[in-house]
Amino acid sequence: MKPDYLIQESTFKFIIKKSFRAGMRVDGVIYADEELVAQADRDRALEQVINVAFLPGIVRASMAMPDIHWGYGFPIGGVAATEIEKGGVISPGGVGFDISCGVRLIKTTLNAFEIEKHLETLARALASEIPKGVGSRGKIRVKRKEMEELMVKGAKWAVERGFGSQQDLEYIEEKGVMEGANPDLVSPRAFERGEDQPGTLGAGNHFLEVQEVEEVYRAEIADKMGIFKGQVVVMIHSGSRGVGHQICTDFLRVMDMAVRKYGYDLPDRQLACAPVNSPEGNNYYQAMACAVNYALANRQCLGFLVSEVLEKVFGQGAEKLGINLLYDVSHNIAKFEKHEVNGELKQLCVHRKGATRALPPGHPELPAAFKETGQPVIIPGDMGRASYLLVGTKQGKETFYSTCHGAGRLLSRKQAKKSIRGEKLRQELEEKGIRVVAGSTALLAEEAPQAYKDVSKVVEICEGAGLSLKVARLRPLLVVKG
Amino acid sequence: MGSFRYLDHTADMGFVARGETLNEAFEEAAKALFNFIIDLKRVKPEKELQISVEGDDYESLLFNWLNELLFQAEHHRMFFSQFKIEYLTPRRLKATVWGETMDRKRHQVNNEVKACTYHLLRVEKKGDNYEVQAVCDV
Repeated sequence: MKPDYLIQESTFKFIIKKSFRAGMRVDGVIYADEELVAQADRDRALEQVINVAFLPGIVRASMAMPDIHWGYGFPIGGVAATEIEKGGVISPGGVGFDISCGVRLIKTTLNAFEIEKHLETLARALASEIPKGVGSRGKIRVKRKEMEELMVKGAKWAVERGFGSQQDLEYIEEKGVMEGANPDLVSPRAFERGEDQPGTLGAGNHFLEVQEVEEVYRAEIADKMGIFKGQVVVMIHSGSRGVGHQICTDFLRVMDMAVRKYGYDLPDRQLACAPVNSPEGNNYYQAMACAVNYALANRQCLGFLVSEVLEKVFGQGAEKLGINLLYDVSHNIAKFEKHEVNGELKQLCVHRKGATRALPPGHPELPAAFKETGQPVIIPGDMGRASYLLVGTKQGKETFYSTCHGAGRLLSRKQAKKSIRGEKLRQELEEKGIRVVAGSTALLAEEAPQAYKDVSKVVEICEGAGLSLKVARLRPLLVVKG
Repeated sequence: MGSFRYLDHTADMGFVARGETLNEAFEEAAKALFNFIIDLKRVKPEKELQISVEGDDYESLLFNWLNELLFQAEHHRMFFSQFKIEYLTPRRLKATVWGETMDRKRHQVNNEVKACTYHLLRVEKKGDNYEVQAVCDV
């Protein structure tokens, strides 16, 4: 049952009118079906959509994608844009602790049947070569001076260090470098935490998967992206590690004080924010950009490590194996973007907290290869079912070209651990032909497919709502978890 | 006797910790945090560390206390299992904590906690007891 304050505007679009609660500056808009919206109501996610509508300078609506669930401050799946000129704010809570957490999809020209007999070796090699888990250290060590360079140059730093090719940069959001980064605003603690973490996966829901393209929905688009049925691809889900966590923590304290200074009345302390055009807002943006660049560099290093493992296991070079980056995109980020609001082009600060940018065909920021297709959108699902490759649409304009970012959790970690046995799950997955390398069986249970919503349904709703289109479904063959 | 229990948060981890004194409630909060990361029984309290944090009120002090512990754990590559608050005012907290260096062979890590958030953060007196609550990003 949907709560009665929700107005169903169309099949997949629900509205919470701004008149519903004093203090809301815009409507809340949830893209979902009746079942998902009811789920969002059972946890506190709808409350969070309402809270975000309080942010000073917010335009159009406080939006949520179909993978909406209870977060902290913003709901996961939340999208909110503020108008910079009109005192619009930037909120670290609208980006999260894992700044620029995101996904990259690497193509190969291998067929799934060709790797079957190598999977065991591949699993062992990836497990030993890719640093993962709590407290893991990478082989790539970066001292202060070089770290400053990394924080300014992002993936470009990695490429210059020999991790990957110049061509990769073309296929990373922002061409691998977020402008406006200023390492002077990053605390010594954040520097320290980042020292040995480039090229490390992390823990929790971060993962690396070797996948098979199981189904192609739009052959013409897939073809232009170099995607074909039966193809082996590698998906990497990771972020800015300790650097992002520390920068967010540091600036939450700053923003907590700014809320009092600017006299904001906010329903959740975690929504702490300051005008983009203020010392606090400006400083946060410049520090956040450092963490974004750290994440881009991290995923570039991880991609390079994966490529090395594949080359070693198959005894062939990257070119021969057709290893190429398809795309790399963040789903926890705030960016300055120009969008039309009430018929006028405005400079906005767009927060995507568990939402993915999805540019339409013809957008000027797209690399030449995707001018006709639109931007590839990579959606990690769960380890037992599927992940998806989507593409942006013109209709995405209404969400500032944003779509979902994953399946979205259904069960809490506590519920998952209570109802799912890690070892049994491992067996079940293996019977389905999915090999799993995981740090612990408890983690396995928490990250079980049953703990997540059905990602297929989430991407269907995104398509039904016109926010993105399905290009291909990807099935896991090998899962590496923190 | 202090105690803690976890909340059923969908994506992250929340807990309520109780104590007969505010000091005890803050100690229990730290236990809840580290017990989520690793079974506390497996962490020997063999190394000692002094912690000192500041805040504007008890809530921000709790936020800073938990985040300081996460930072120090990563910095010293340790897990903590025992906590003693020595001094507590709304603006300042001093504590001694005990734990052990991370040992990948012996320590089965259950979760990584990225940070403690301000979401649903509260510090309250309930009857004769004190209760604190926090939500952490996992």
